[in-house]
This record gives sequence, C-alpha cells and structure tokens, in this order.
Amino acid sequence: MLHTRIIIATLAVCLLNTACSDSLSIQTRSFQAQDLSNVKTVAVVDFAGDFGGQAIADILTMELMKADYQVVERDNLRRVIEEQKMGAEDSSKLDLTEKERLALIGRNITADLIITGELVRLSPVRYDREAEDRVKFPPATCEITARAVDNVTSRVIWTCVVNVTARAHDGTYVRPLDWITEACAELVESLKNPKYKDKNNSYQGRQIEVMRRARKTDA
Amino acid sequence: MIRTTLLRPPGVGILLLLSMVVGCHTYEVRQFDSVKQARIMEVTRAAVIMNPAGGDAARERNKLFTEQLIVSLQKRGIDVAEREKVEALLVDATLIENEMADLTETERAKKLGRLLKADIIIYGDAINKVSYYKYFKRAMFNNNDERFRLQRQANESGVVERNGYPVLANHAIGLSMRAVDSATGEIVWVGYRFLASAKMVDDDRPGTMTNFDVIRGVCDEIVDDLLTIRKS
Repeated sequence: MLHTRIIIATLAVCLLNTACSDSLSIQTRSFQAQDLSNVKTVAVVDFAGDFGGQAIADILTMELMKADYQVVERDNLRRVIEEQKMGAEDSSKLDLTEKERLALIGRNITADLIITGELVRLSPVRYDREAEDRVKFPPATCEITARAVDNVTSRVIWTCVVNVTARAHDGTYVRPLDWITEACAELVESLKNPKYKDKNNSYQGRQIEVMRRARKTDA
Repeated sequence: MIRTTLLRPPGVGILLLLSMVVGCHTYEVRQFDSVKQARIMEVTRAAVIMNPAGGDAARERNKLFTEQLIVSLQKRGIDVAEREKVEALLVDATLIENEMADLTETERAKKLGRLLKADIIIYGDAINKVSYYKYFKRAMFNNNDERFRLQRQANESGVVERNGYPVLANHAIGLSMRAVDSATGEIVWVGYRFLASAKMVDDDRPGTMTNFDVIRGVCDEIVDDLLTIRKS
C-alpha cells in the first residue's frame, strides 16, 4: 500500500516536472543525393516568405560559418532571381525550371552549392517574465524547407524540411529565439552529416542541454 | 486595534498591490550571437540596406530600423550613404543588374561598394517586432473606457500618452544583420540581437514614451558588436 502511494507520488512529481519545464520538439525530413562532406563554399539565397526570410538566411549563414563553411555574399542573387522570374515571360526562358535558373545564377558565383528555401511558418511571439534573465512564452513554431542545388550539374542534391516547436515554461533551457536558431542549426547538421537521420524528437528540460552537447560533439 | 492599523494608510495597501502586480511584470531579457572574420579592417563609410520584401507594415518597420542604424553608425564616427541614394540605386536595380550580369558575385559586391562609396555594406532584417502597452487602473473609480481607449491608441500608434495612468510597456524586438566587405565581397560579420522587455513607465515622467527607445538600444548594441571588426 505504501509502495503504491510512493510510486503514485513519484509519477505525479515527474508529470508535474515535465509539464512545467521548457520543451523543444524537432521534426526533420531530409534527403542527400550525394556525400556533401567535401563542400566548402556555399551561397545562401534569401528564403521566400513574407516575414523574416532574410533574417532566417542570416541566421543560417551564421550557423554555416560556425560549422567552418565559407559563405559567399548573395544579396544580388535575389535581384537576379527576380529578373529571371520576369525573364520567364520571355519565350527563350520559358523552358527553364527553377533549379536550372538557380544553376544559371550559380555560374556567376564561386560557390559549390546554392542553398535556398521557404520560411513556411514563423510567428512573432509575446514574451512574459519568469526571472530577471529568463522569459516564458507559449508554443512557437518555426518551419523551414531548404534545398541545395549543385552549381555544375543543376541537380537538387539536398533537401530538408525542419519543424521546431519551442515552449519556454521558465526559460532555463529555451531562450527567446531558440525556436529559430535550433531550426537553422538542424539544417546545417543535416547538410554536413552524410549519416544524418530524420528526427521526430521531443526534449524536456535538461534533455535539451544534453541534445545540444551531443550535436556539438558530432560536429 | 490591528484592524485599524492595517486600514489607516489606505495608499500603502494600494501601492503594495500595485507594486506586486507591476513588479512581477518588469523584466529585460537579451539574446545575441555573432560570427566574424578573424581579420580587422578599415571602416570609415557604410551603406545600410534593409530587406525590401514584405507588405507595407514590414517596409515601414524596416525603414524605422534603417534610420536608427544610420544614427547608431554616425554616432560612432562612421559616415553613412544617404538612405534616399541607396533606395534610388536599388530602384534602378534592373539597370545595375544588366551592367553586372556577367560579373562574379565578388565583383558585384565590389561594384555596389564603389557606387555607394562604402567600405562595408550592411544588410539587415527584423526577426521579431512586437510592442504593446498596458495601462493600469490607478484607483477603483477610474474610468475603464478611458483606460482601454488609451491602450488601443498606444498599441496602434506605438506612442504612449500617459494622462496620469501607470503604463507597462512590453517589447520583443529582434534584428539580424550581416556586413559585407565591398573590397573583397566577403561576409565579414553576421549576427543578431534580440531584446524582450517589459518596463513600468514612471508616472511622473512628463511627455511621451515610444518604442523608439527600445529600437535605438537594440541598434546601438548590434552596431557596437559589428564595429569590433574595425581597426581602432
């Protein structure tokens, strides 16, 4: 009888801890057509999406630079793409697919790969305080689709869809922008690691820290 | 006896209650990260180009950031290309693209740098910008309608006219930026800065309070970090 009570009390405490700690859920689906571990130079084109497309490209650039990639400046690429899209009305360019257009652009840059994609979901979040240096916020989702096109062959050689949902209950493990930075870090890991396996993981509290340490070790 | 002691100074109770309500809301949380090239460089003139994409609200928001970034750079002794000139140049993008069509990306960056006469070109975008204001009731008998009218007006315009009400100003503002060396076309710095804060606006401070204060703070901090690439 006493044992049962202790077990029930322990379970209740565990459940309460789980429900009241920071949480992070990461889902990815990726495909790599060839080993990209020898890729050194990449260009990141601003991601499509009404809000934050360039910011996502900046954060992804930062994560790529941290992973020792050389990232080529790409601002003019966006305008070239627009020009190419306009040019598609021209009959000579009607036959070009999007990846052929990206490859056409790629010929003018010194990168092995061009990475582009779309910011599917990103909502501004209202934050509330938990402690002086921590905030809490309701579940916030960042969903990004990304793909890489080979400059030479025009083939799409890597695709990845990542969905990160973060919720800060007390802000100990999840910082305000972690739902965005984690998504970009996951994209880089998927690109860099040829043995990368799709994820469908949820992390609570301290598990988040353990997952981040493991990611750094793998890198 | 005890009852009279507790009830005698009615203001204390209200103040205590107000401080509990207000105190638990006041905070300031920052998050930032950046990566830069190992080498340092001479920076005397810069150009700022914020993301032109998005709807009217996004454009207005980025215009606000552009102005503030220019001020932050100028305060630190950096000469900045005029915003109108940069915009005119971007509007004329087709012409520039035609001219630049056969150039490599590095050569393009160099050419843009020459056109703007800038050592670095700074590209930026807003990650998050939420500002809202809460008016607290000063006493039980205050007019609620007036309080809600002020709250709505402040949230829409971003300007707080206090009219004697204590105000809690909430902000969550984030900015990402990257700086490109126009001589080499290299990305020399990339980073973001984010601030989430809620602050009680002192009731006896005259005038108005706007979210410009917070935007200015975020821009100053990100520019300070960026200018660590500068040769001192």
